[in-house]
Amino acid sequence: MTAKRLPSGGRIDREKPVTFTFDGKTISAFEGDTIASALLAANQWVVGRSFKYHRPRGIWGAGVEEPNALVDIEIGNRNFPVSRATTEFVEEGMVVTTVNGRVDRAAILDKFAKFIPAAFYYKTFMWPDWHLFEPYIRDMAGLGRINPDLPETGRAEQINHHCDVLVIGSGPAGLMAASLASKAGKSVLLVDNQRDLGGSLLHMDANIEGQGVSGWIADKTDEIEKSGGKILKSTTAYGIYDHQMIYLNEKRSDMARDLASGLDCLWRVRAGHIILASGAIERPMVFQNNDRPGIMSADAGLKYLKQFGVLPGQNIVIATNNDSAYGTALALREAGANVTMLDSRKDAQAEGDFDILREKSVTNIIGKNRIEAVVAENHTIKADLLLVSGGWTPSVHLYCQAGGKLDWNDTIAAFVPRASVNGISVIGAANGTFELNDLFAEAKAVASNYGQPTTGKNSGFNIEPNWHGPSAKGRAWVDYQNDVTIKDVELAARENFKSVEHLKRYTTLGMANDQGKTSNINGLAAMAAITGREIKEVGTTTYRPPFTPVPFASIAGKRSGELFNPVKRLPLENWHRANGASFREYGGWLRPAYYGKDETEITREAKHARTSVALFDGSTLGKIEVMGPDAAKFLDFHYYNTVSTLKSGKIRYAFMLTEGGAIYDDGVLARLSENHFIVSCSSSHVDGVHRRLEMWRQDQFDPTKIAIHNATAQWATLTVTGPKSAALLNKIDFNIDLDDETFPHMSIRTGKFDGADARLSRVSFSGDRSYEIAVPAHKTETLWSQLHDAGAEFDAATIGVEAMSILRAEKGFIIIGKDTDGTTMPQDLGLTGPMNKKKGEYLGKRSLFTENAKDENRRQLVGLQVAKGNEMLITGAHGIERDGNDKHSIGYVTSSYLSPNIDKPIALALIERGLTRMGEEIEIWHMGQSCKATICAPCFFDPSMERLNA
Amino acid sequence: MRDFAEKWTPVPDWEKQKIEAAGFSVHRLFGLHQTLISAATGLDPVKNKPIGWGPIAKGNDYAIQISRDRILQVSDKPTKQPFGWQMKGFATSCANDLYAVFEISGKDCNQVFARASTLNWRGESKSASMQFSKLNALVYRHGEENKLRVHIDSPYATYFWTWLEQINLN
Repeated sequence: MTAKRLPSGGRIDREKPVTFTFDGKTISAFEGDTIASALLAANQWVVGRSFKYHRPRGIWGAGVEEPNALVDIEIGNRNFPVSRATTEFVEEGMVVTTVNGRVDRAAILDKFAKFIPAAFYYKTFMWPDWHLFEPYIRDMAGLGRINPDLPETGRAEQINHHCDVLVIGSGPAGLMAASLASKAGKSVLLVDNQRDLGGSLLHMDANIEGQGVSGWIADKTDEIEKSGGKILKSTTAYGIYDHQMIYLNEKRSDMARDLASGLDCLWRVRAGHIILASGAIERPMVFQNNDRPGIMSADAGLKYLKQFGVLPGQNIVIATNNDSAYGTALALREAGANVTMLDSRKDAQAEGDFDILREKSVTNIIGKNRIEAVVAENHTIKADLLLVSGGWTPSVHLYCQAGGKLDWNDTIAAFVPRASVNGISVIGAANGTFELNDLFAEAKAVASNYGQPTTGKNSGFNIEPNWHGPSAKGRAWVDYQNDVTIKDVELAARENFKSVEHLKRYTTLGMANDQGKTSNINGLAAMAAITGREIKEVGTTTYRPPFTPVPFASIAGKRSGELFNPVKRLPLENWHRANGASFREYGGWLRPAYYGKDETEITREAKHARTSVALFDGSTLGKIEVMGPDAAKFLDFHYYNTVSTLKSGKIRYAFMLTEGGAIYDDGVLARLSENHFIVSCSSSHVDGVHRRLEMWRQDQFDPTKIAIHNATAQWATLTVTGPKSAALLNKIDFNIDLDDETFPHMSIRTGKFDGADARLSRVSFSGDRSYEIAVPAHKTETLWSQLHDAGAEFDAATIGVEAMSILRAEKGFIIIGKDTDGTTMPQDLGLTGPMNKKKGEYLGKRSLFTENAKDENRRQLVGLQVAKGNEMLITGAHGIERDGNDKHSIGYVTSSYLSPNIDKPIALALIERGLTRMGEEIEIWHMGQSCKATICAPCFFDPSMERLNA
Repeated sequence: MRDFAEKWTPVPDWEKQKIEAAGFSVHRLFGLHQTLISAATGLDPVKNKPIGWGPIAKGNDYAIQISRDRILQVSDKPTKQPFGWQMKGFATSCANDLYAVFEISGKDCNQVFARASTLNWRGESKSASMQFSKLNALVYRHGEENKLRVHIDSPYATYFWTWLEQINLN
């Protein structure tokens, strides 16, 4: 063997051993190890199998760019599927399993690779039905498993932050920029996705400003903190959004922390300026069998040595096309490995104390479950590790998300930022500047004078790219994670998917959760070679957030359970709870459905309401005050009905229409005085109606002559309904004459209750004599208590929403959105008066006269009767007409109840031409069963409306 | 039929509710008289200039700017004017029970603010209207830099309290 833990070195804590399991095998590690470094030290080479061909795969990288080493992690009662082994630190007791690793038999798929190239599923597995094959293909191709038996992962914090300068990346460029900006008096936030600051300095030797790397990093950190700067480690800046809002995900705790503490923190940051110092990612090279375990990036090899004290191989071949790998070679040689350099460049000058084969490229790999030898044209070199440096790709993702454009730089064979994007500067390796003095100069320039520096000269980089050409042999991988090979790129070109965006979608190159960090450039370079274009002509795909996967828990934050979609609460809620209410959510409010032991109480309540008196909490009803000299004219514009003719002290039932002519809301409108109206819209529409009124007030009318105050929550509304309602109310002192002559139905009066203003309205949703009493919410309990005390004499009962729903249905009174749908117009309810007579413009008017509005087959509101003894109709059941074996819907049941006051089922429905089909028997169909019902008028009870004044 | 009451925490006994956490405390205020006033530009029915986010309201009689032509008058005394449209060209509505008012104070008040609002703690705005813990709210400083008053629609008071209770600044 090959990889081993060195007796010293690295940033791990050798005093703190940690054990975990990997596919059932116990692995020993140290605190500070990542899962990947621990597996390497344990000489574990196969860490998974590829997505499509199930080829054995090993660790490629040492950071977020890792495409192969994806694992499922369980620890305690928490589950983290599809995690990168290279970025997750080991914890005691972790259970780590490979993704795809267990399904060894699927490796046979690799033998059929010729038949399953890119996009095979568009062309094959079609007969007899794709859906027969789909579940198996998805199961074989899937990544990771969620353990459904484990509880949720806890809630993340979310914090909003403002600063003058946000620096992303704490490598040399970022640290320098952050330090200078802090010392200049700016409020600075520095973030880095690593646990330790320093970036690439953590695995490189350098002398900076007269001191070693550790000392320099410590000094800069100190300068930042002493100047008031804030530093967030283990924090990834994953996306820039509108108006330069940037989102960070901070990993705050170990995975084992209990559920209550949560895991991560989402930061929403608004910075005056963003300095992007996010570094660069090393590229693979493309050659035959370049996906075998034991092939790694040169930078990763160095990082495992320096940061984790792991010598990843004994006989190491390094393949490079640039100078950067020579430092790695030297370090590995000094650690005791045999090193052979394969330098593909023609004119390379670099030297080192190891064998160098010049102008030689890797052409094949020998070995299946791990590398055994490297074939470099006519040389075969025995090796247990191949490190590859195919060049560097600046991490420009956030700059591009913000709209930045890229230019191809031949000096470094990479895309670099072209020009300044407002509010963002890119420096260091992210700007394609690799030499220390140059990147420090950039940092100094932007810290004091925001802008976009030109990429450094990089005279010491000296790359000669060797993109895999169209004539090269064998299977060579471009995208490890999605198993995309050069042949797939060639196929895409043959089938004319030549644009980079088509290449991406057709082959899935760059679409896995590594988002092409190691594959995009090689892929588009291959397409360029195949199609005879330059790389800059092919271009890049659109960069989109997130840069790395973000837990859903971070995005959700605390918004789950009660905090997700909160309901509004009634002033009397605790009284209702204490008195046996069973609650439901209605229109965004928590309201009593009924009171008592079970749903049979609903029928009892509905019957009781008609025999004596019922008390109902209707506090949710809208109370939007519209005031001013233009209020009447304004409301005429909003309502289908004319409201300006309403006299003071009167109430009118009215509709609001959408601009398409459909009924948006129904409710009552009360006029308190010449310039003062109350819009009592339906409970669920209060916010929508308020918004609509306010929008038109500002847009169309003189806002100095209209005022709109949504006072819904200021007033509680308690309903007293039934034949004995007047008698009950006469026991309460409102300072209002309740005589029918002075206080008729559909009128409103103001008075006093217990020293506070009170409004009494005679409106009825039940169809019986009914009063709605509005008092300030803090008087609700007092009034409710008095109503109950006084009501005892009259056998008053409290009723819930369900009973009221039956009562109104008995009368044929609609509920918007239940007995109307998004197309129902006033004429569908038989209400054509305003349409024919109302003068002046109002919202929705013109839509009432379209072809569609005049269609004679429109669905119209009717009642449906079934014979006594039959079961009640199901809400949603369709009225149908048959045509041979076919049937088509002519409408549907909107409300259906067993009426206790009529002692038979009743239903409301929207049926084609319903208003002209009274008495007609139709067929009702539901879930394969059919029955008969007779169309009738929607009012089943007291059609003469005598009970309003009974 | 499922009883949804079990999904939701009951409305608390507000008189007894307090949060005393490390760095901040919260309680609900009662007894304030609140009046919504919509006024035409140029009219000034209140004696104190309305404030928005940033400045510190002082005393027991002040006005909060909601929008260009709407304010909330807050006082420890009831208004003498009847509500409704006033002939001078402005409208008033009683809002004593419309808004539930909470006071948040403490050295870490800014940390609570950072979790509730996307606005800049150090910034200023003419209006006190903002999204606060996902609610439409009026938020302003009262008495001192690190003391906030938050007015929210009273039906959401229980949600707001539940949200405050889960804050952990540690």
